Amino acid sequence: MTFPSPQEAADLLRRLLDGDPVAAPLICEAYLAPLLCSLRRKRPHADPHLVEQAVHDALLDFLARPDKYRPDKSALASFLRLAADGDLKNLLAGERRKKNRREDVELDSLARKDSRSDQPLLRLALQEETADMLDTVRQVAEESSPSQRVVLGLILDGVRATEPFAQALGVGDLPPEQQRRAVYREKDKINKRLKRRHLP
Amino acid sequence: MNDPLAGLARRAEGRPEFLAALLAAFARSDGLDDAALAAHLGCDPGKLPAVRLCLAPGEEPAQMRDDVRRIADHFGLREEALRKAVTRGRVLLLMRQNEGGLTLAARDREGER
Repeated sequence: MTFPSPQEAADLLRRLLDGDPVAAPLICEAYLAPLLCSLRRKRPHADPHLVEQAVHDALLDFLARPDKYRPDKSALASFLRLAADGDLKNLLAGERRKKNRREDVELDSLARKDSRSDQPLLRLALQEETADMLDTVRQVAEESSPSQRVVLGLILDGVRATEPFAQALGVGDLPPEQQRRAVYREKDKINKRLKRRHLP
Repeated sequence: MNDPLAGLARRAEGRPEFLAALLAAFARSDGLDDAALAAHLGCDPGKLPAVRLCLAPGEEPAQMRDDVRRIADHFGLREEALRKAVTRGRVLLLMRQNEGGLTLAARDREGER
């Protein structure tokens, strides 16, 4: 699976720019397999269908607008590899957004319990609000230590007693006053992180 | 084994820059499957993916004739059949675009009321 030589690439490009309608399938035949191979190697864990879609889009975009490629800047193979990788990143980001939305829809069932959710617009607003909140919580969790994540979970569960927090932080053996201070300190840090992201 | 170009050619059907879009519109209007389309063009169905990936012939009559001839010569297609498919396909795509425009315009008018 090798890309065409610089001479072959230059010939194919010249034919395409000269308006030869047959140049497009010749370029596809020459570049499709090596591009797929290269992107699969670079992103081995990506969904193979998305990899294929990204390579297809990169090739078709180039063939439809070959003037976007500057031969003096890079080899055609590099240009196409970069374009396909960029398309793949966009597709993967889209998939992530879809997955998040699916999770949010599940949370929507919670929002339905709210009497206001009988009204479609309000329900949509609630859904968006819930999605934003979830996003914030995810971000805060990502930048927290494992014990802070447990504290975050307890805060979200509405726990108020000091003891569960102290156990989570590993300070359950300290005198009560010191436990209370340690718990307060950690809860305060997390609350500030949530507030920085406008979560009340 | 599947032709690796087949998936790419199918994806090109949504892009009017490629012959694939014109052939898809033509085949749909005549109810042709791949085998029937290949028979119409006078080629082996295995050649269809590469044929579909050609750039759409130019719109100027002289340019279109020239492009159709080059494609037909390269793939051994029946030139007249390809020309008919290209012309019909282009008209069908234009009609669809106009229909889309008319529908939007109708919606706009509806919204103004």
